[in-house]
Amino acid sequence: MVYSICAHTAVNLPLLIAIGVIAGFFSALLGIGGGFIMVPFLITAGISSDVAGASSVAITCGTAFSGMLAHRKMGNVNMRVGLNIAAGAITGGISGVLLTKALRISGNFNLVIHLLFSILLIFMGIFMMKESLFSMMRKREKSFYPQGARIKCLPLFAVGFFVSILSSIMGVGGGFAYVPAMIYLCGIPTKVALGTSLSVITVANALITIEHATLNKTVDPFLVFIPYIGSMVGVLLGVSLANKLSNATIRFVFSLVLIGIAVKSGYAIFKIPQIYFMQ
Amino acid sequence: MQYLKYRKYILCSEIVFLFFSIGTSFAEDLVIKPFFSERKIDVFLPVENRRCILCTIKSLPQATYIYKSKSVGPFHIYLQKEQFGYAPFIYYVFYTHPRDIYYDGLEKKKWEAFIRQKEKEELYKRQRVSIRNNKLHFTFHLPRYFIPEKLKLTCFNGKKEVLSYTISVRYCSFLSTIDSLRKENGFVYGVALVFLVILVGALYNLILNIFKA
Repeated sequence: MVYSICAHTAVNLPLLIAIGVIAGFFSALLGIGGGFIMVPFLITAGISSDVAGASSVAITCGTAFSGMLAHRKMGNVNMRVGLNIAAGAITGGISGVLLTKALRISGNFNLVIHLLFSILLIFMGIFMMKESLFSMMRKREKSFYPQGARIKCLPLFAVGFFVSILSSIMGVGGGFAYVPAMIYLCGIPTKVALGTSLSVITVANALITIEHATLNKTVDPFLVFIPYIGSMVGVLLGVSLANKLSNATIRFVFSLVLIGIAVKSGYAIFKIPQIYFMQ
Repeated sequence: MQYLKYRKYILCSEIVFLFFSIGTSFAEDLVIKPFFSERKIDVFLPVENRRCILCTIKSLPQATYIYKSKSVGPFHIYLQKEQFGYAPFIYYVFYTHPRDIYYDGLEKKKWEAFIRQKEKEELYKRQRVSIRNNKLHFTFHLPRYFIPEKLKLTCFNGKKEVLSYTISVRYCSFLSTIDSLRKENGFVYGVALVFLVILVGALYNLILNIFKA
């Protein structure tokens, strides 16, 4: 058992490593950020939502930095677009941390995060299920490859701002919104969008982590480093299996898992607790 | 000549061995001892010692027989972590008597479910308690890492606090430094954490590149 000094609860050490491995595995396999998987699992393991979210932000910062280095080597980072989004993300991140603090004081943080996660995971699950079913039925997806980069400052700033608020509250990376925004708003290639998105996530999440540590004191060192190390192993497994397994099937199964977590998270809002006080 | 030929490898192996030995000693001090070893603390509490005259259940430990008085109900001693903010385990010293019905307004079933859940999570451990010279004696078995600087023992009678006693203990200095830094200087803690996370990410990337090469 490892004691979380922020969440004031003891967590099973192998469970934490397993959560990291699962998050890393799926993030490598599906190309999504680990936060979406890590935070609900940490909450299910008994960690309070605020600590799970803040610690997950720190993990995402490290994994994004590692990914960014690889992308930068291949020249997949567009600094101009990145700076535009980062400006919004930094402002949004600070606002999100302040919002988190206000929600914690009012005692509604758990409700908000359960609600947000339920909605987002349901949407993600349905989207992923639809996409994987289409892939399995061998139907061609609509592809969108715009020609020529056109940088729109204000929309990019707005995307950075709003996604970063979500990142700081929910502990997710934000790649799910940055990448499509860069592709559709700027028309930059997908690989460059991925690299640039990782650079934005690194900067924004580093700042959000520092803000959480300063204002909310909810970044737990054990909840950061133990799943982080697990996620590294998971990423290796995910990468090695990515070429061997049918991605569409995995995505379909994963979409069911996401919907399941969303339903569980949603049910927790309405369920009357068996024990009225928690330690 | 033979030595000169292989000195590069010998030097490398010596460096590896040096790092290995330093690493294992660090691991022992920082990980194994704090996490896996236990520290015993003997605590003596001055309490009024009266046995419940109604209680005849022999199988229960002696501690459960102790009541302040029959009329005022059960007598608990437990560690309140909220008061010192650090200790993870609540050591449940006095078990609630099976005949007691209420604890902080909870019904017996709910209270027992709570105890069962905490025992399952190993957050509660029964302690053997004895009386010596009109003082209550029990021993904590706390992992080193979990020991807070000050433990406040509070005896409750229902919701009313009847006795409060503070003991000072030493605990793992490395982890306490991290925790005090987190609490007192969150900015420095946050910056250090981000630096470490990024460093680990960079190292991971480097290792991956080496393996790919």
